[in-house]
Parts: sequence; C-alpha cells; structure tokens
Amino acid sequence: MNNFLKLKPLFCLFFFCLWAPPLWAGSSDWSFLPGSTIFKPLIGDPREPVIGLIGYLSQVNYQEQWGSTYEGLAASAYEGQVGSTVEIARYSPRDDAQLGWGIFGSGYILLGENGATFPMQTADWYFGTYFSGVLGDFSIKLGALHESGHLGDALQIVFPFDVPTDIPSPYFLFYSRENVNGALSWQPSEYCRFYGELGEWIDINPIPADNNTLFGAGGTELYTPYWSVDHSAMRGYATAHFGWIGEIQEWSEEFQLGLQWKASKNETRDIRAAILFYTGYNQFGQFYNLPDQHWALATFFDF
Amino acid sequence: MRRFFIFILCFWGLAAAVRADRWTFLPAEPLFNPLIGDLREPQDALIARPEENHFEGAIGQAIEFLQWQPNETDKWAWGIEGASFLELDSLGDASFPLRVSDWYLGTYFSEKSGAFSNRLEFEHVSSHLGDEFFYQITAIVYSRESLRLTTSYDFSENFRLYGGPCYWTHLSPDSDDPRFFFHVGAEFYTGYSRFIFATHLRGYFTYDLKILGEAGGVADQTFEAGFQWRWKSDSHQSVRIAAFYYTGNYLYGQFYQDPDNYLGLGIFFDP
Repeated sequence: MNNFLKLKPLFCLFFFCLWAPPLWAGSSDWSFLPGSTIFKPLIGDPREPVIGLIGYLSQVNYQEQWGSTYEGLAASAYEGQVGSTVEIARYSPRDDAQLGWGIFGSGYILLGENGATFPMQTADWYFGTYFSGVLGDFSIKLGALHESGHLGDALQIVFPFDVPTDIPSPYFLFYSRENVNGALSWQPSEYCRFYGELGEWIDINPIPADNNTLFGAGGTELYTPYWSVDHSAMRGYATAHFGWIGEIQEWSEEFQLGLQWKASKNETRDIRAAILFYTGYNQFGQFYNLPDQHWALATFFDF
Repeated sequence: MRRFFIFILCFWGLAAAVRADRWTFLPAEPLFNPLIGDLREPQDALIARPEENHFEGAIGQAIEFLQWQPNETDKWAWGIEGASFLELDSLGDASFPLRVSDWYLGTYFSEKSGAFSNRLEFEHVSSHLGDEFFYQITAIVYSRESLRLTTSYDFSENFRLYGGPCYWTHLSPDSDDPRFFFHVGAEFYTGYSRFIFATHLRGYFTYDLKILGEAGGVADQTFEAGFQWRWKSDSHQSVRIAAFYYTGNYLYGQFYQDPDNYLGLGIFFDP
C-alpha cells in the first residue's frame, strides 16, 4: 500500500488542527500566527530550535579513540543549527495568562575540517508540536517530538566498506525516536530563570538495554542588567544546563557565558555570542553513546 | 585563535553600525519579500511527493540584522540566511530513511525603492548523501558558492516579476560548464477574502525558472498554485498550502546531473 495513503490520517489531523485556531481567532482573545512564542526559548538547552553557528575550540579526538582506520572521522570543527518555531495560535484570556499552540523543526549538522573542506560527520533532525502556557512568572510547555540522526557522508569512506569488528567504531545505526515531554519554567525576575524538563521516549531506536526511556533536564539562566549600545540594548548572560539521559544512565552538562543583544529590552529577537563548555555524551544521535567534551565559540540567532 | 578574532571582529563591527542614526536593528520583517515560488528560498515546509512515496522537509530563515533608510524613499538592509532541505524515502512500518540533505548558509544585501527591490546574495551550499544510499552509491563532494542578484518589481499587490543573473564562484565537483546562470519568476495573487472569522485568505500562482549551464544545460521550472492564509492582510506571517509541479534536474546537489519531474503537495510556513 502506498505509504502516503497510510499517512493520510496524520495529514488530516494536522490540517484539522490548523483549521481550528482561526475558528477562534475572531475573538479578540485569540490571534493567528502571532509571530513570537509565549514560552521563551531555553537558551541554555543545546537542542532548542534556533539558528546557530558553533566553532569548536577543542574536542575529544575520535580518530585517536578509534584508531587510524577511521581517517574520515577527525575531531569536530563546526556545528551548524537551523531551527524555527512557528506559533500558530494564541489565546490571551488575561493580561498575565496566555496559551499557545505551535510547531517547530530544527536541523543540526556536525562538520570536521580538512583544509578548506568541511566534511559532514553527522546530522540530526527534529520535528514536533507543542502547547504552551504562561501564568505570571511561570510558563509551561508540553510537546511531542520526532528525532532522527544520520551518519554523514564523510564517513562513508570508512563505513560500511571496511568496518573492523574488534574495536569500537563509528557505526551507522538506525537512530529514530519520538517522545512526549514537558518543561516548567519560573522567572522570578528579569535577571534569572529556572527550569526543569521531563520526558519519555515512546518509540525509541536503538532500544536501550534496560528499557530506560526517561530523560530529564534542569537549568538556569542568569542575566545582567541591560546597557545601551546607542539604539539597541545588550546584556550579559550565563546559563547552566544539566541533562539526564536515562538510556545510557549518564549526565551531560553545558555552560554558556555570553552577550545577548536586542533592538530594545522588550524585543524577543536577539543575537547572542557566547563561549560554551559541553561535557557528557555526544548530542548527535549517531554518536549518542560516545563521550564528548568541547569548548566552543558560538553565535545564536533567536527569532 | 584566528576564529576567536574573526568572531569578535564581526560582533563589534555590527555594534559600530548600530550606533548610526536611521538604522533599525533586528527588524521584524525583511526588506526583500521572499520568493515564494522558489523551492530553495529559506523556509519552513513539509512536502509530500505522492507518486514517488517520498517526503521532503525544509527548515530555514533569513535573519535581517540591519535596515538603513538614507532618505524618504530608499531602504537598505543586510542579513544572513540559513536553510536545510532533506528528502526522505518511505519504506513502510514508519521507516523514513534519509536520501539526501542540502545545507545553505549565506549573507545578503537588499535594497527597496518604491515598487523595485533588489537582493544581492552570497551563498554556500553543500549536499550530503543520505544513509539510505550508503551501501549503493559513493557520495560526491558537492560544495558550491554563488553570487546572485535578484531584481523584483511589484506591478501591484497582485503581480510581481523578478529575475537576475547568478554566478558560481566555486564549484565542487569542478567542471567546464558555464558558471553564469539565470533566475526569473513571477507571482500572481488574487484579492484577499475574509476567511473563517477574522483571518484572510488569497489564492496565488507562481512560476519560477532557473537556467543553468551544468549537465549540458538545464531549465529548472516550478509551477505552484495554492492558498496563502494570514491573520490580517498586512501580516507578514502566513501559512501556505499548495500543489506544485517541478521539472528540471534534481534540486539536491548529490544528484544534480539527474533529471527530475514530480508533483508535490506542500504546506509552507512563512515567518
């Protein structure tokens, strides 16, 4: 049977959901495609859908780990992120309370460096939908996410044509999974924010050895007061993000220290420049059970 | 260390520009309206190719850093754009292996004066074979940079024409094929209708043509018809639902020499 037809119910559901918000948009409490999100992005979470360019200053050298057989797999040099969130509908019953529904997608690419060429090591894609709400200083987001990880074609020269079996290898695995997740955020002032996330993989490949499909994270964002750069506003920030990965029973942490730059204090769009330190397990699906530790310089665009 | 200095230089160069008068920093809307008929414009989209049982995804954005208004009629802008396009096969049992993915990163300057608008882009693209083909095909190193000038004229709010020359400044794989190529197109819109309650809907049709010298000469054409759905008629954000027909060579770099014709159904999100 044609798989497109098999997916037809999903398309119908999606179009139904898309259809519903404008039905309510006639009310002044509702807006359609508002252009911003009510749940502010968790800027310390390395897998938030944003646009970013990350230049690695240092990283675990996989070639050393795996031996010279894997000439295609050097230490990572650059990471690119392309992400977008589209809030489709918003309901604002009170000044301090809002509800929203939207979708998001993001792609992450990990590149090596070989002279003037940047061979692709791996790439991940995320696609999901969420419902979010804000009440005073608290905000919540409930989401469902599909994620897939794909080995880069730079590694095709070492795999699958000459895979030795006696040493750990960069392997091409079927990495595809879906989860349901929730995030709760508390921002008591404009200078700090705390958040926690919890989720469970409902369809997970590869299947974990002990069927532990839970994951979670917690973190904080700290901000300095704004200062004026003539017509714009800038402030310093620091984030700490701690993620627990149940399937490998390990923690991963990321710390950022940087500058956030906006047209004005109240704008949601910003540019961030940061130095970051990541330690834990690799965030890319194909290397999910390999240790990773790197320092990097990054520029992010939150739009 | 070189990376660090380039990074700092770019960041503070932008800061110097923001200090001037008549500048708008991180404006909400780009000066040059996206070419909605070009399937390689940075956009968020989900596309089904029912005949081949393939699916495509697109994630992309243009981020305008600055707009400058030197006088009452002219505006200039500078920004960057990034996008990722991927094609998935569908093998049943919820298995969608990756066939190919293309990644774009570029910067642009744009200008608008009345009904005329112009955009000069410098764009890098790389294409990567998906893991579905790892056992079957050897990937090529497909990496290119191009300069593209697009001039657009809005005859009215219902009709737009655009076009311009483009040049590959770097080709990998290299070839003796002509490096100039041309891009033209048109957008036609109906008037807005009040749709369900407070939303606005209009129909549209686009034609997009790229004439390239590669692979012995190629004309990539896209015919697209659909509906554009907005909250208000002057909102920038929209959702588009469209059917389109593409004929030419494969849009993904790994297969750029192979012909491709298909009917697509897509939903597009214009930020």
